[in-house]
Amino acid sequence: MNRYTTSIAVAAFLALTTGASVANADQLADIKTRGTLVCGVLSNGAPFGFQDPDSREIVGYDVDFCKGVAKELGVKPELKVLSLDARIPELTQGRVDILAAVLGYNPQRAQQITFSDTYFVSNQVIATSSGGANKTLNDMAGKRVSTIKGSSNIPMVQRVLPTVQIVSYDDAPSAFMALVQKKVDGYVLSESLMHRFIDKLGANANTITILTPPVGREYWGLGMKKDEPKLAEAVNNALVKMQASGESQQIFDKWLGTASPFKMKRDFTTAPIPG
Amino acid sequence: MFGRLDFSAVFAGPFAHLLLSGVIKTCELTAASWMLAVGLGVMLAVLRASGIPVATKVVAAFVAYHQNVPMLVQILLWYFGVPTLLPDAAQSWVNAHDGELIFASIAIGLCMSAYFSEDLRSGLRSVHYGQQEAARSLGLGFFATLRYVTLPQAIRNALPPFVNHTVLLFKNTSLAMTIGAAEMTYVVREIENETFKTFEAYAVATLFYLAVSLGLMGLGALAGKRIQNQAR
Repeated sequence: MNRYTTSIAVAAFLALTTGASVANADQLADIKTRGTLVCGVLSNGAPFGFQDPDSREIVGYDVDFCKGVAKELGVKPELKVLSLDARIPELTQGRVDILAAVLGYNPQRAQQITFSDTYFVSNQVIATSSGGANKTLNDMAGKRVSTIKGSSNIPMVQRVLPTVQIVSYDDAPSAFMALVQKKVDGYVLSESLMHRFIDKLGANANTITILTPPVGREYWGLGMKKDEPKLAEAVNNALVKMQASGESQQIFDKWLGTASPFKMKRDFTTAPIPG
Repeated sequence: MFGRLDFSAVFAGPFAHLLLSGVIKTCELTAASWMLAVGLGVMLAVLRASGIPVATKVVAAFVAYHQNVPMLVQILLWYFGVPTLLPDAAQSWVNAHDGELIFASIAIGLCMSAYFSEDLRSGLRSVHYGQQEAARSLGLGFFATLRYVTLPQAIRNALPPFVNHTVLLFKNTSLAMTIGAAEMTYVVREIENETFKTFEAYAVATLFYLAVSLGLMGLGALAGKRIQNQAR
């Protein structure tokens, strides 16, 4: 019984404190008076947020967007490293102002937090062995495609290619190995991770080809607390300005472009996420 | 509490067909690896009983490896490791003919053959040495002695552990899910992923494994009874 009373007390305390911070006018004004924008980022998600082995600083695509938005708001960026699982609670409990943490849009998340306009679009692609019979996405109909068990891209593939045979493995490297050893005809994964796996093949990287078009797209936004319309508007304005000035393109090219191991092309622009 | 359980969702639409395919794949895996394990297990036990020094050492090493390395490691080694040593033509042939089933059956079959050979060896050791001496003195050769005198008695003694290991083999086919063989556990996990009916999905798998395991043990008891009757 004691435990229940404690938890009720804790819940009441949390409700009071969060209620109090909401009543404290708006978050944008808080950020401006404080002079810092606190960004929640990841430290283990190269190239989006990771520790640079030389400078020991957290860098990456997400980090640069945090810095860009802070600059547009006229405040200093402050990075706070979060774990992947805890990033949304950390935001809703007010420990960070925005999340720049590989945050893909889905309706369940959108009920808890506000998403900014897209600053990245993650394509889910199918890779196959080079030089085989499979040249485009439609050639994969009826073929064996490896996936990771429980992955959200399984329904995506099944929607686009209903006849495909799904073979699921426990983790991403096993599913990729199955493709390399030609145990399956294709492997579906996000484009950036796929490039990273292919890059690891070194001299044999040309044995694997990514098919077009992608099977699905995941829209990433910066995460903000619900009911902070002024902050959301300011962040979206900042993203639009970064897009117009070419800064968004520069950040993309720096981390994911043709000079990087990922060799990707930016096939999206900053726009409201199609819900 | 049971009012909230909804088993119909687990059998709805494509899932019934999926479950059936999982049952079939589990049975195929069990049958293929069991035949390999029994055939090889008998050969190993006979080789060891032969007393040829090299043969007994080789069999001992084979048994030591397969009993002391986790079966999951053996399955992964066969599926991801061994094919890289094969020529390309053999690789693509295996990949085109349900490579998951083939490699899982080989791995499980080899591993359990070690257990079966040990069961039979202990059975053979339980037969009094006088039986063999008597048979040899009557003019029976090594194989005839095994075939007509010692093996029938050894099998009778080895039956209970043999049945246990058959049940173990059947249960361990679930490890093949890690290499993408769509057997019962793989299928149930997939259904659980799509319906979120966690308890119901795993309850179905539990009942299936329990029913088949108990069935196998029942068959073993029946066979045991028949053998005892014949011996009288």
